[in-house]
Amino acid sequence: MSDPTISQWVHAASAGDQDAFAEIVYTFQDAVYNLCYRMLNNRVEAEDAAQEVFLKAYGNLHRYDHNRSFKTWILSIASNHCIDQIRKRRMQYVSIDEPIPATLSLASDDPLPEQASLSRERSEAIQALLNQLEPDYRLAVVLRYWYDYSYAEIAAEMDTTESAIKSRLFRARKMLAEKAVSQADQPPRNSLTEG
Amino acid sequence: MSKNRVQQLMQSALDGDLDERAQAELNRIMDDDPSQVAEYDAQKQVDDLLRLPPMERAPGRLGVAIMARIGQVLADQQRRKGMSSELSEAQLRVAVQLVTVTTLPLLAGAGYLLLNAHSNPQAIERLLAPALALLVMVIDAMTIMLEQAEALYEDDPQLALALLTLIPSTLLLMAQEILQGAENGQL
Repeated sequence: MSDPTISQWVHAASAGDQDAFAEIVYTFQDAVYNLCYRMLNNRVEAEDAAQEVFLKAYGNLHRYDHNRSFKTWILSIASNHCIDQIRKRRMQYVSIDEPIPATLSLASDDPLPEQASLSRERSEAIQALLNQLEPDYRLAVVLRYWYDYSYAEIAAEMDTTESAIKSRLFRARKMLAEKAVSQADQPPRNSLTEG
Repeated sequence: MSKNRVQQLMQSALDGDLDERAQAELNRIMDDDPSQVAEYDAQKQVDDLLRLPPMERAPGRLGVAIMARIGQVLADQQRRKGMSSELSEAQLRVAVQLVTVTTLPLLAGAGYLLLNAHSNPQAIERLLAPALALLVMVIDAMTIMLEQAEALYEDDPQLALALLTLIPSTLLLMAQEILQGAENGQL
């Protein structure tokens, strides 16, 4: 999808053309929903969050800078919204006992099953790992790996420096590796999960 | 070798950005310290795991739900705008009546002064000028403020109402000033 097309939609939507905004919604809903799901770890909350993000975007279309990527702009709204939502949860219990599926165990020498790499099981397993990270680390990982953001773009989004982002990603990967290994070493048991 | 430098080299290696010299430097570090090999392997495995991660697709109903909510928001805005407009019109009518009620006694007072002055030729000389000035100023001020309020009404009904509410107090102040001046002249 070319940016001029999106720009036209944005102009039209700003002028009250709901069909144009519907095009925007259908073009970016997967990207926004995925970000919300990866950040919030809950499909219902992710759906609500995605709705809020598009409503905010609709209300702020006049502020959109057409020199900037629309996707970056709307994902920025989504990132901020999700961080706010996570902060609002406050003392929510996050289980450290949530079992990481064996397919993701880094301690195992077995290769990852190919079919699992594309399955929902893999998606949820990665999500379980991701959920172990603090929101700031999680956002950096999501923007880097899911959205292919450069370090500079992540730094701009998170209002910090490139070196801080590199360091954050390094620590995030280290934490994920440690979690995966420690989970693999523990026998599965019942646990509370983040709601 | 600083920890930051090692991290930097590993990060670049994961990104495929290491030149030959940096690659040799990283190899040397890992040869010297086996714990760095484990560290790099862990980083590499997580990095590989997260490459091309699965995207969660939005539920089919999401787009419809968003557009429905936007439609609802727009309808609410429209309704509020309509209500606000009706309310403003009612307020405007009340405000104009208030101005009329306030200014009528003022005009009547000025007329009364003029009529009474007939019995006193000296007083009429003293009062005629201020009374006429009062009438002229009242009419001019009302005309100007009403015109401005009318012009403002289309853009900002609330501001127009605020202007109208100022008319009675402005007129009273003007009258007070003029009558005070006349009284001083008498003395």
